[in-house]
Amino acid sequence: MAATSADAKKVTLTTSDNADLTVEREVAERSILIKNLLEDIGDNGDAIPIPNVNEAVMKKVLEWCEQHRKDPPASQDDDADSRKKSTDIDEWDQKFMQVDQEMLFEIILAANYLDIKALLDVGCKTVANMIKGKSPDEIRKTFNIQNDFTPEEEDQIRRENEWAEDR
Amino acid sequence: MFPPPLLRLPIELHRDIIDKLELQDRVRLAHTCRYFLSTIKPPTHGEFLATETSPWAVSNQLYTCRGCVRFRHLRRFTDDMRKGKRARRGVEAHTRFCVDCGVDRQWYTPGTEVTIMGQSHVLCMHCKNFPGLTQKECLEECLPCSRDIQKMSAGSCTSDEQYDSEDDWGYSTRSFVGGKHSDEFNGVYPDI
Repeated sequence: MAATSADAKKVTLTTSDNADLTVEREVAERSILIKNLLEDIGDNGDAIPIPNVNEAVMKKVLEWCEQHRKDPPASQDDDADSRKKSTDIDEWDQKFMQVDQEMLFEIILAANYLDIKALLDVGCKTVANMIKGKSPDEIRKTFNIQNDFTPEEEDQIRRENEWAEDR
Repeated sequence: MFPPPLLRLPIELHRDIIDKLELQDRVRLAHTCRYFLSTIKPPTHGEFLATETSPWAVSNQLYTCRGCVRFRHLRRFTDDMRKGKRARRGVEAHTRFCVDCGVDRQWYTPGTEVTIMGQSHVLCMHCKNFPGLTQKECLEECLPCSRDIQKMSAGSCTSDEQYDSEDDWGYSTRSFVGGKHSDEFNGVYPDI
């Protein structure tokens, strides 16, 4: 039985917990890692192992890739200036990133591993927005960071940076 | 103990996040723990100068000091330091320094007269401060026994007479009032 053209465009990804996810090649190729793999090994229909990402995170990442499958690739100029510092996130992405912190940081790690620059960027912006305008103590609470300064060190930091207390 | 999710990211991803933060947020993150303090470089003088024109710095009345390389409130600068060429975006903003650096690093010499928040101050020769008094008044407060000292060692450099001759309070008051900006006269300090 000959494979239809639609089938030919699909790829299967095997996650770290041995789940097989079948997606359209165009969607999977938002990941530069997968794109390069497919170009190198050729599309022989074999499942592609993604040993660093589990099923739950991979599904979430693929959901993002599906939404952004038609996005134009980021140009070099974008990379340098306009994207830097701007923490604006489009509405769909904002909703997409409304997940618990475990998942948020798993998505960031997966985007980094899979080489999906735009998703990594949205993830980093989301974290930056969670830091913005907060005092050191509020940041610690938000991310569950242990304060490992001695009271003397903290005192000195505060004295030298009294300006940073203004918000 | 397993680290919290944020600290599980590799350093290059922390850098990506830090790159997206404004100067003040970067500094506050650096103050959360040793790891971020060692990862985040303190802002440079140039970065402070670039940020002092931001709405945040303007609304908090912060200016850059080249001595201690940080922001300080406008109260910590002489009026000359934040006006004209040394105002925000001024061509000499990079030369601005705060009162404390001026005193500690001896960029001001004792007896220097300055205006802070519209009020005239003299750098006291004894306490090395700008207490908002004339040199004579300050010496009397700093050295309650200065008159006795004067009697005991006439001609010493702490004698009242010497300060009397240098005390140009009357002159400076006149020239100060004359040179005052009308807004300052009404107690309004324009944030230029």
